[in-house]
Amino acid sequence: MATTRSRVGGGVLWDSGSPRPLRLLAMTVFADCVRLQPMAQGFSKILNFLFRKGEGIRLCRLLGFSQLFNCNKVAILIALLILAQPSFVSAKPPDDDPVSLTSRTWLAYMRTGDRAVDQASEAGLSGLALELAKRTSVTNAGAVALDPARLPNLAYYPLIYWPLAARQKPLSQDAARSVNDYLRHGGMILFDAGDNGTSREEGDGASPAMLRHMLSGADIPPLEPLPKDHVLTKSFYLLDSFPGRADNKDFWMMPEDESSAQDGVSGVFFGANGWAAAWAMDSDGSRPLYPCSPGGETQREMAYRFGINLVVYALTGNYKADQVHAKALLERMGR
Amino acid sequence: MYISSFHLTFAPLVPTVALAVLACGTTILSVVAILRRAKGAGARALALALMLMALANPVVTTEKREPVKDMVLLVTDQSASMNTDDRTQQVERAKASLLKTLAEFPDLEVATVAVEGADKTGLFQALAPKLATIPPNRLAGIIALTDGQVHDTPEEKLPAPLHTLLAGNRNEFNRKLVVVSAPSFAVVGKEATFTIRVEDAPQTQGKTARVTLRQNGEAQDRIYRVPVGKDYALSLPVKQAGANLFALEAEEAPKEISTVDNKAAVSVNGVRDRLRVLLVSGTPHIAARVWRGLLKADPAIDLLHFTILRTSFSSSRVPQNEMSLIAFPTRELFEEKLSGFDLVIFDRFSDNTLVPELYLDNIARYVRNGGALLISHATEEAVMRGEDLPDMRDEFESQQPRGFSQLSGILPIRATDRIASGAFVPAVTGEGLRHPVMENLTQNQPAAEWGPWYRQAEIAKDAASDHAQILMTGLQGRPLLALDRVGKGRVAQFLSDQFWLWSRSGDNAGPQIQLMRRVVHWLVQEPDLDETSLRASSEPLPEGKGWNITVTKRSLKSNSETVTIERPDGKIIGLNLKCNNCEDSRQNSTSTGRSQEKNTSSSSVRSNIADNIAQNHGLLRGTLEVRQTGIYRVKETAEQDESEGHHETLVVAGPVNAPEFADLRSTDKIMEPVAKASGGGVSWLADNPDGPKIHRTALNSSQSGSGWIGLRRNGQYRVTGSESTPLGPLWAILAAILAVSMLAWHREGR
Repeated sequence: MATTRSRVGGGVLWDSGSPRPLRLLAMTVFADCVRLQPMAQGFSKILNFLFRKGEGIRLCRLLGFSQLFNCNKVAILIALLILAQPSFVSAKPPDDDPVSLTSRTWLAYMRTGDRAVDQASEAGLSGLALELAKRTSVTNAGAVALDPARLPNLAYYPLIYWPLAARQKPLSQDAARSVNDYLRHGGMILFDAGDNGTSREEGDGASPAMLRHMLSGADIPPLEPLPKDHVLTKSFYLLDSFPGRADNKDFWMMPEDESSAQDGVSGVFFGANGWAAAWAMDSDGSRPLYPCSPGGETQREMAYRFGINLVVYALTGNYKADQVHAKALLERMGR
Repeated sequence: MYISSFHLTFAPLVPTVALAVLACGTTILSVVAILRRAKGAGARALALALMLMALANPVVTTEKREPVKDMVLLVTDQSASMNTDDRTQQVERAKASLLKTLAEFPDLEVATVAVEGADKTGLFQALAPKLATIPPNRLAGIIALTDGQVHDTPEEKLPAPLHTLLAGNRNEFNRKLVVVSAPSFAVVGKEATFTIRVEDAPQTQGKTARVTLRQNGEAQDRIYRVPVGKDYALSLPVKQAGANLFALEAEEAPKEISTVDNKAAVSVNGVRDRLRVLLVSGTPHIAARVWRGLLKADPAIDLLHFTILRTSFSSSRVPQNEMSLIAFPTRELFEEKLSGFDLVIFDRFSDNTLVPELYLDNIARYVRNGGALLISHATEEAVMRGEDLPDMRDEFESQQPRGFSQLSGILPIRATDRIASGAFVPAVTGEGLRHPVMENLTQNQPAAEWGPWYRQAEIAKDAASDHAQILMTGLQGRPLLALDRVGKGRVAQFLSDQFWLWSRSGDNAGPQIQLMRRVVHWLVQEPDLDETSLRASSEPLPEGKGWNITVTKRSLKSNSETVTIERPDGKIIGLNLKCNNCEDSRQNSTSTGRSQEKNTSSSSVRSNIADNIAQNHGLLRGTLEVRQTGIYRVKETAEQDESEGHHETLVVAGPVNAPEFADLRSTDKIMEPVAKASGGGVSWLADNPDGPKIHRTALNSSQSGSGWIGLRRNGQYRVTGSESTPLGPLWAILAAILAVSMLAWHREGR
């Protein structure tokens, strides 16, 4: 488990007037220690007690640290330098319990029946969830598997990852109805026709035609290539391609419907880069399971960035497209 | 009285042509015979003439005639301007005396017409139906009792002399207030500019008049000194969306005949500038999509959205220029520009929202000064970050999440950072049933079909503030949606963020869009959604019989109430307001408030929900019929509940700026040309309080003069019967013909 980060990115930082650097320091010291909870708890109870009651400040002053703690920025920097990655709760949700399904953001994937593909999906989404927790403020929990033969209420999932494997049957009528309802109410699906751990032959997937065959019952308009400046290229990271295990440039989306209640957010994406395989880590979360080519680890980083962008896009929609407008509005408001 | 007349007519026994031919033949024969000096020619001609006459059959006709009474039309003006001074009494007196005099003429019949008119005097229009039933040659004259302010003088000549008897006095003095120009629309929060003028008639020089302004919803009157006879500009703030009524009144001038036209009312439709809404999403979450869908689809809203995509806890090795992140402009938003927003929404407000405490104070102040805040609580498991270890908090910290303490002064419900979970269907409380925000929420989908939610924030003990309005409850009756008014501003608090469940699936749907939209619009003080309000409207009754003033009051508490209505003339009347649906909402409040069981089966939860969120709970209504045109002031009485405020409102009955009130002075200028053209005249009742003398006049003679009016004698009659008898009996004529013929033969025979 990685413990230190040398670089502090942009985003939200404490304002220089922010209070309680001490508490921040205290909590960051122990943030790492989820696995060592008993000890951390005991320690932080003491510290919390001290700081809450003002005792700690007095103690620090006594020890001659006051200069340090007055300088908030230094404190924050130190705090962030020793900031560990946030904990990640990868509990498995009970199959259909909405109470826990709505407790966090779960990333869902569709089972294909091909064991290798399903394992890659599970490991891939878990790996992506880990990176999301590290890098963003998305409070996500982990991966949930969905069975296309028996689709439950899909409403709880902002995003469904749907790998295409060989010999997949077209959706049943009920499943198609579920998918239609999901997409109509703001759901989002990423179809992946790429190589996800199977030893498939060249050219047996990766076409919108195959997707159309499988989704013949679902109400999805013809896909179109993703425009160059689509929000997906800037919803968190700035991206110009969406590589996975492979780096095909073709990426398709469902045309956006500006008039719908979904604020013009597209619900269907399609590509063939084997993203789950690129995101997949072993059970420790330390070693990648599948090689990425041709870009190697750099390409894997880009795959994570794409995954994060996609989840953030599923959760915030066209938020990033607002920003120009937001700037103008703020300026217009003047003082 | 019967008159008989005789006529001699011929009723020929043979066709006229045959008679003429016979006559010609007879004449020629006779002339020839006489010229030849034939014997007996004269007698024979006589005999022939007699025969001709017998054929021509002369008849005597006798007719019986009945004289017809002449009609006189007596028109009395009862329009609003007649209420000025003692004009009505003047007219009543003259009318009584005229009717008495007219009754003394046996050959006159009187028809009366009354002219009503609240906004104008249509005297000739009112006269027309009666005139149409009277033949013009029976009409002896029209007598009009009026103040002369008639608004429909005809172009064409009247069929009989019109005698106008004027009420009021010559050279009356009056002051009136004229609205020269007024905008019909204005942006809420900006000023609307009106131009008014105080006019004295006849004109006076150099005076000023005090003008009082009342504005709907303002307790305090404003006073202006306005120079008489000159345009004067007023700039007045438009405070609310919808109708803003401004009532103006100029002070009474000495010796003024009426103060009715010293008043004017202007209604300005307040339109909102686009609402600026700041949405801060604590974390990226499905709920944010729902918020965006709602707020971006609303054309009245300019949305400024910030999502905390990353916190200082997030780590990254990625260079800044490869990221599409901007710093959250905390200071700019919460210090510099905060007051520019109409509404601030903290979507999933929690510890992690990262609005520094300093700024939370600003937000509290912003709300108190008229801003609006909506908070929806995040309901996911606490993120395990160092200090957030839950068991540690219980010991050392109050249960309120950090940040909430700064806002606790303005939040209606004190929530803790713990989450209560279990399936529940949001239920509308009794208070909710009375609140306009919840009205008709079941219109498209009955409450029994609403989808369940699963998580909500746990609340502290004694969580609700005294004046919190709890509109919905959640798990086991815990407050779920609470509204409150804080200072001049408003706050709404959703104890759960799971409203998104209602919009993410067709099976689990609920009235999420209506609910959120109404809450948002209530927060920005949309008058239609005010839970305590007093409104009044007026509509004309049929046939100009005045107006119906309808007063409606919204209340979360009372079910009946008396308001006072101040009439334009200052008299105060009470009006009872009643609520038709309040009773059942009282009963529901007990059942819906505690309807939740700790049962996760949603069907059994649903069955307990009262599904009758009917219309207009909490709407009290009363109506009053009035006759007076003008501005009525409706006030709540002092006894009513203090917490609901003290409302008053203005309502205008009838068009105040109507022609009827354009000039209230009595005048002979309008009626004189019409009267002169018809042969009649104009005189003042002030000279002759009982009306002028009445003369019957000949058709072509003069019809009016000093102190008298003429009613022409048309001399019409009706034929009641006729009888025709031949001039002589037939046998006598035959005998005469025989005698003359025998005379002729005798002469011949000699």
